[in-house]
Amino acid sequence: MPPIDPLQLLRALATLLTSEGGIKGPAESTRICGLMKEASKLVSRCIYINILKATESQEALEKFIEDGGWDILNLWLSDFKEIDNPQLLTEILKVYKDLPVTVDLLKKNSAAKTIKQLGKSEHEGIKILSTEIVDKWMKKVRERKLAEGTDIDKSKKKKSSKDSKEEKKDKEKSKSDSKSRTDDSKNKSDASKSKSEKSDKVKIENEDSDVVKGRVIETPGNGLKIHIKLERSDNEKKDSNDNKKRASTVKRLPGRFRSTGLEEELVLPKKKINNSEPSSKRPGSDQKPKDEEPPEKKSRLQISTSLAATAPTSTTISSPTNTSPTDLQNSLKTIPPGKGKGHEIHESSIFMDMITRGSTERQPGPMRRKKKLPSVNGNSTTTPVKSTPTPTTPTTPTTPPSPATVTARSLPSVPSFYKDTLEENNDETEKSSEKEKSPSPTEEIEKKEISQDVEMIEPSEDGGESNNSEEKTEDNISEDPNEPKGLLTNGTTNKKNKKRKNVTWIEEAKLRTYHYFALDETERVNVNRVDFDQMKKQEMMMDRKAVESAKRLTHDKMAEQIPWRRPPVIEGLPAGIDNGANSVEKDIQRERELVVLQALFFNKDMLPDSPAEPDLEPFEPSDPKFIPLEDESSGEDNNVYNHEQYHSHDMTKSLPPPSQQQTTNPATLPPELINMITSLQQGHQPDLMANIQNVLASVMGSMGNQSQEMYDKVRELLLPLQNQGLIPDMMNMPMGPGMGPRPRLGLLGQAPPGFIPGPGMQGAPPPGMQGPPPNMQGPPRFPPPGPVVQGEEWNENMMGGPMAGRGRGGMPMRGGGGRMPMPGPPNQGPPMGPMQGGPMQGPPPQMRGGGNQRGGRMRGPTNRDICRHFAAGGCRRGNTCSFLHPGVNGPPV
Amino acid sequence: MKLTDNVVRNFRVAKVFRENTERINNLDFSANGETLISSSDDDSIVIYDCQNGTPKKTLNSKKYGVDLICYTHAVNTALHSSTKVDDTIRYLSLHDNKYIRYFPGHTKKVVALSMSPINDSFLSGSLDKTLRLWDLRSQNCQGLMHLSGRPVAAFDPEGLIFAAGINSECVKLYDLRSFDRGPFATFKLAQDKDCDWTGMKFSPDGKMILISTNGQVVRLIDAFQGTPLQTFMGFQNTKGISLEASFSPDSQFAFVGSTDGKINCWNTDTGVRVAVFNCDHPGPVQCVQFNPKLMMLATACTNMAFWLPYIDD
Repeated sequence: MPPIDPLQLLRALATLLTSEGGIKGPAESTRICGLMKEASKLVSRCIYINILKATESQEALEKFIEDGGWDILNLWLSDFKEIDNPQLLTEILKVYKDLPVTVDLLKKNSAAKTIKQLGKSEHEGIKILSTEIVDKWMKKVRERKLAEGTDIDKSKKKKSSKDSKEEKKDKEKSKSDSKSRTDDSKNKSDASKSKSEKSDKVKIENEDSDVVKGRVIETPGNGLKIHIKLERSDNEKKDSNDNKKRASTVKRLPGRFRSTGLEEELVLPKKKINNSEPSSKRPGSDQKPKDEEPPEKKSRLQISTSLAATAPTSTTISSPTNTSPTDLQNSLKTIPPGKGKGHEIHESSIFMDMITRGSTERQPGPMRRKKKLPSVNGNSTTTPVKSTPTPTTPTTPTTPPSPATVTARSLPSVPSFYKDTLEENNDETEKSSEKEKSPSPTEEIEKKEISQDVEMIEPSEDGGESNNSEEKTEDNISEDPNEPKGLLTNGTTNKKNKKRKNVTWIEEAKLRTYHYFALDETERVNVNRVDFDQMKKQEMMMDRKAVESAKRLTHDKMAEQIPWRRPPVIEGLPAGIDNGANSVEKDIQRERELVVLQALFFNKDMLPDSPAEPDLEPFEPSDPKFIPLEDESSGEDNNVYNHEQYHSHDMTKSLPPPSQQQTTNPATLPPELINMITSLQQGHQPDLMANIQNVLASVMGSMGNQSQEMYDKVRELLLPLQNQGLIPDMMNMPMGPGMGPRPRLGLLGQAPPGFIPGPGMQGAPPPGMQGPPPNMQGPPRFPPPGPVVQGEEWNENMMGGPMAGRGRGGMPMRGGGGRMPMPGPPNQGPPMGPMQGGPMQGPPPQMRGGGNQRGGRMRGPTNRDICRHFAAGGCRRGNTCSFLHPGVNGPPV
Repeated sequence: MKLTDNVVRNFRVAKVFRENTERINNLDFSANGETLISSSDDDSIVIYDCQNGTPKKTLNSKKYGVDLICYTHAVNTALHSSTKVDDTIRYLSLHDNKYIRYFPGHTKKVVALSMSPINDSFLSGSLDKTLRLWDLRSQNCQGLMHLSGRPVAAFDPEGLIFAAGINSECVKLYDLRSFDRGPFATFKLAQDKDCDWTGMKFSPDGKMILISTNGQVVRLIDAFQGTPLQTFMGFQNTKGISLEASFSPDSQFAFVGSTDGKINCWNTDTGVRVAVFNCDHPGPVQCVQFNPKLMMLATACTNMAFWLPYIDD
């Protein structure tokens, strides 16, 4: 063609233009658009660009875009980029800047991506311009997204990516200006090392891929690619629609929705962009991005395959599914697969299986594709539906996917309960969490317990992330291919294909969320297998409790009579001792509580049945000190206060008074006595009564009966004695065991000896007294009575006294033994009758003796025992001694 | 407000708690009177807030059962005897619901438990006819006394001496520092034939000892001479159960429950029965205690009742 004269051209166009050189109006813009389509020379293109720049009428521009100007400009843009003409790029970017853009437009072709990429360019003007444009468009996209919510726009992604890019660019700027793309990619890779930057890189890559796409379109083989792109968009839309329509069968956390909606718009978009881009680079992922990638990175072989596959794909377009794209890719890539490694395939297969399963179960579409694709391609790799692994292999022949990536793949599909929190921009955290859960998805599927939720997620974030993290090493390689130049040349693409062993995630949009509920055996038992018997028991128990409490409460009329108020402090209390002042343990526990967590129970169900067991602590067992019952160091009776008689007062009303102390040890008694004692002990009151009534008319009976009447009678009987002044307290002695003896003693007429005080008693002539030890209690005294044990009667008589006083064997014996002995025998023969009269008078002295002995302890005149030490010859306490010193601090005996 | 006959007569139930399904077998006020801990036959421990008149905390001890609970000096610890498994005494931290230490040794049911008012010693008496002296810091028994019957024991309010009731007829006083040398005083009392001593308490002023029984009598004796001062009778104890008797903080009054749900109050000086409260306790009132610092009385059968004086100062 002859060189074009710009002036000529302008003149020719003059009719269409305003005086400023802009397009006159919508009608003219159509024509201009038509003309532009023909413009292939730089000169004419420049003129048209200038015209557009000069156009101020929005209508005209809109019309221009409508009529295909958008695509034309895109074409030019990519061309300009290819020839790397900064001036031209600047100019065209200025045009872009002023164009009234809509989100749909942005979606229409790769212009946005290209411009984004330009943001990285080393030319300062271009960079600024492109970033400005990107920002402007991002705004629009955001607005739209906010309005639509779920719409996934690449432009959005571009926005985020642009932002990230800017950062990167800055970094790059700081670096040397070496403008080889490899350098850029390196920079990117460096940036990618930092987690936050990873996503950015991905985005960049995506943009690159977009650019590539644009170019691809231009190249002859690109028709195929274009088709693929269309499929993608269609698929995406359909998927999203599907997702929307499908009601979620699984309970979702409320936060989940939010995150998918608003948060995703903000956060996910970036990821998605990343994903889609990376996915395009890595054919392993099943989605459209991958489709796009093949053209870029893959050799024409792939393209040709894709061409071959186009027919099927176009058919599939109608029913786009997650799996189908992968299959396509697989088919496309199948040719290279021969080089692929089996291992990787296997690993990825798990993930793919899951995806395909999920998709197959729910979406018939994917199935079709799979089937069709294999048939179309006739590839050896493409096999029945579950050949998903194969696709990955072909796509990732060069770079073996790390196990982590594999798991990561599985992750996205896995439902993560914590995703809500994790999703916040932290790709890495997501990955990790997903990795942990990766095994579960398979289980779920198998058990069919899983309910799946299709989440409307924009292009695979996960894929992008995974790519970033895992492909750090590969970044240089993989990114290079992305760049347009490499893509265009077949040779380079081949090399790249070989190198690529990329594992990519499914597009975000096609990811599904599975909620996996781990099977808890115990829970199962509790919830589902209700044991009937157990239930029955439980119910019975509950009923019983209810009844019991009802019973309790029916009798429980207790009511609060006054309202509660803070109890006043009691005044006038003596200042008490400091409670726990010497406690060491108190402090130990206080310190312990500082470091031990308090146990809190918010309701009674939380209460453990029992407190926790104590910590084991080493200890050396040691024997406790023996606590003696008697004070062995000082005199035995030194500090003994005897108050038995006081009780007798009380007892008069209801009980017979206790008689004596127990000092005698029955074991030391002669056998006869022991027998007697035991018989006494065994005697029961009823028996006593019978005997007494039989034998003694009143006295003895009264003692047994303890009735007041009897008591009075006894008193009468005793009166004479008391009159004698010998037994001052006799009256007070109700019916102690002493009662018995007295009469008997009296009978015996042994009064004189009886006069002798306690100790004296021993020497007492009376028969029983012979050997008596000072205290009278010892066995020696008893021997005499021994013989006495003549008949049961005697025993019974005896019992009247002693028994009444005490139930104890030892005590009565003493009492009885002391004095009874002698009287005993005589008594028995004769009935009581005589006893009554006579005994009383005669024996008074004796009585006293008895009184002292026993009574000495229990009721003696002073209510005190005779001081042992005094009796022995001298008490060092003298008058202060609390024991009786007969004749000194008490009445003489 | 001071405790007078009139005040005592005007005590009324101000709170009724039905936290337990079984008899409350023991209760103990904290030294500052702010909380009350109770143990029940339903194996639960309930702690009440005496200021606000509310239950404060509940703990279970279903494994070992709980009886004879009493606070130790640390704010959040208590000592209790067991009703199940064995007759070990257990030292419980209420703070983290964990046992701190066990005190094994008794082979039959523990029927007396008394914490020293000033240091870490405590006394326990059991139906195995032994009385043991312990230290909270060691699970080793510190002192052991063999008796011939059911023991009762109590520390005096100054924590210098402890009293042991022996065979329901004899009180022996021991110096805590030299208990191994035997009692420094012995009070011989007439033996109660038809009942056993089931409890013993020093009056807060240390001058009297109140001896409760499982019969229809409660005895008050002089803490220095053992002289019987008063005998409180006339309340009902038809079941032969042990009814707690306790002093008011000023030692002026003695309170005893009864099996017919009434509360009796005597003046310790005069022996005059000051009041009989009919408060509709549905069961035998086995636990009666007066708050050591506040004008508040706690009585318990299955229900727990808090009493307040119904008059202003």
